[in-house]
Order: sequence, then C-alpha cells, then structure tokens
Amino acid sequence: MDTRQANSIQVFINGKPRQVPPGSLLEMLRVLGIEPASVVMEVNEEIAPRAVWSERPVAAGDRIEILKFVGGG
Amino acid sequence: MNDILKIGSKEFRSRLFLGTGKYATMQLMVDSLAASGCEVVTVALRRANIDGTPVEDMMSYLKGYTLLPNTAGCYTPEEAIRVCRLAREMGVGELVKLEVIGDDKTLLPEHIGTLEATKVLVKECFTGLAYTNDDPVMARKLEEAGAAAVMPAGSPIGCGRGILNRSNIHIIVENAKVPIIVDAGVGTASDVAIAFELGVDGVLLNTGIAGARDPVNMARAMRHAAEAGRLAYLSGRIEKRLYAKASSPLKDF
Repeated sequence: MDTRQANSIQVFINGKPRQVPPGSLLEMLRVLGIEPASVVMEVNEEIAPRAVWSERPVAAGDRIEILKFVGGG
Repeated sequence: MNDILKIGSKEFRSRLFLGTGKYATMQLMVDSLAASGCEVVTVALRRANIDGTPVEDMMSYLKGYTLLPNTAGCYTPEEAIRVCRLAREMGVGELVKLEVIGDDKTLLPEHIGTLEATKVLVKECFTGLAYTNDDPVMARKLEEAGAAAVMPAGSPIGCGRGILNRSNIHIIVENAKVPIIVDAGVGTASDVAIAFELGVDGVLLNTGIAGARDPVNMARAMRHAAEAGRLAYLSGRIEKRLYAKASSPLKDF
C-alpha cells in the first residue's frame, strides 16, 4: 500500500491543490493553523455549516473555500 | 435628543456607518471608529490565508460593533447572494450591505442584478441594505423589492467628491419609507453635513476617514458634521430667498 496515499489526501483549498491528512474539516483547519471561529467554509460550492465541521470528513478532490472577514467599506 | 435610527429590527443611536478598509494600522482603525461614535461597521469576506503565516483577525478588533458584511467585488447577483449566505454563516446576524458592481472603473452599481439579489435575500430573511446610485426610480424599486434600507452613492466609491446631485438625494428621501443611507463619495465633513441636511437617515463612509492625513481627527469631524447636519434638518431650515430680509427692525430709529 502506498503510505503517502494513506497519510494524506489531495484537496483544493482556495483554488490551490493541497495535501492534507485524512480527518474532519475541523481537523483540517487545525492542520492549516486557522482559528475555526474566524472563518466560514464551502465544500464543493456548498456552505459547510459550522455544526458539521467536527464530523464531516475531508474527501479526496474536495474543493474547499475558507473565507474570513477583512477590512472593507 | 432621542433620535433613533431603525433598520429592520435594529435600532441605532449613531447615524454614521464606517468602513474598515484601507487603514494604515489596526490601531488607527480602532481609534477612528471610536472617535466617530459609530455603532455599525462594514467588513468584506475574502479567502483566508492558508500558508500558515499568522494574520490579524479583523473580528477581534470589532467587538461591540454591529457588523455589516458587504458584497464588495461581486459583479453578479449570484456572487452577491453567495457572499451574504457565507457572511450569515459567520454568525454576525442578518444585516448585509448588498452591492452588485456593474463597472470596475466607476464601481457604479449594476441595477438589474442588485434588484434580483434583493428579492432573493428578502426571501431568505436577510436585512438587506442595497447600494445603488442616486436614481429615485431605482431607490423606489429596491424599497418595493424589500430592501430594509436604500443606500444611494453621493458620488463613486472612494472618489471624495461628495454629494454630486443633491436634488436626487432629496427626492429619494422625500419618497422613501425605508431609511436612506448615503453610501459613497464622502470626502470631508461638509459632505456629511450636506447629506444629513437633505434628510438622509445615515451616511456610510470609509475612504474619507481612512485616507485622511489624520484619520482619528477626521472621524471626529465626521461625527460632529453628522450631528450638526441631522440637527439642522430636524430644526427646519429657512427658505432660500433671492433678496435680503432684514434681521433688525427697520423703523423706530
């Protein structure tokens, strides 16, 4: 078995390919060093409600958008 | 003075709305917001940095303010609706500043898309504040579509040229049943005063403060201008006359 496959899956985060360990959306945020309370997420163009982040596994090929508030007028 | 601004179910004592963009530092932004006395601040939604470099979290600087997420940068109703839904998922409430931009040089609104998006957002129970230009007919259509407030531009976003068509803003105010908030073009304090003297319910500005040489004092000036203009409007200005009318008695010297 290819251990690289077992230890990481490829997803697309904010438009860029990225290898992340298998796990939930919440675990993915931790790996990325992102404070969960400061962001919202879309997976494959649908909003992933905060309530499901700890349960929903990241799947290979997922297109994930992670967005946050910034200054604006 | 008990002069409350009501938008949807929300009530505000300050009639100034401030943007949070373009400040040189977070501290300048925090101090300027405080100096303006505003209660509502706009924010934009953008992709988070995922390369691990620590970024300052805007939200942590805005505790105590009512957040008004905008749809800046959206050129279609679909994009704007998406941003509103995502902003609501952030858990900051139902207020959104809807802008569908029609042109990247003037940043003037795309009316058809704005109207379409307004209808969808109303169905989804958003309190939508719709950015438009100073067209009284469009303002009425947005109100009829369910916009909680209509936000005509005084002049293009960030241009600092003030209220270019006072007559139109006056007409919009006279015919509106929802709050009218001048949303763009404010360059200096007199622009704010003029807007309020015309009877608008609020003014939203960003560049006029963030771009000033001394943003904190400009924020203070804007606050005074808002209070002065609003009081002048409520106090009922005199008629404009072509000829003089003596203030002192003309007889019994």
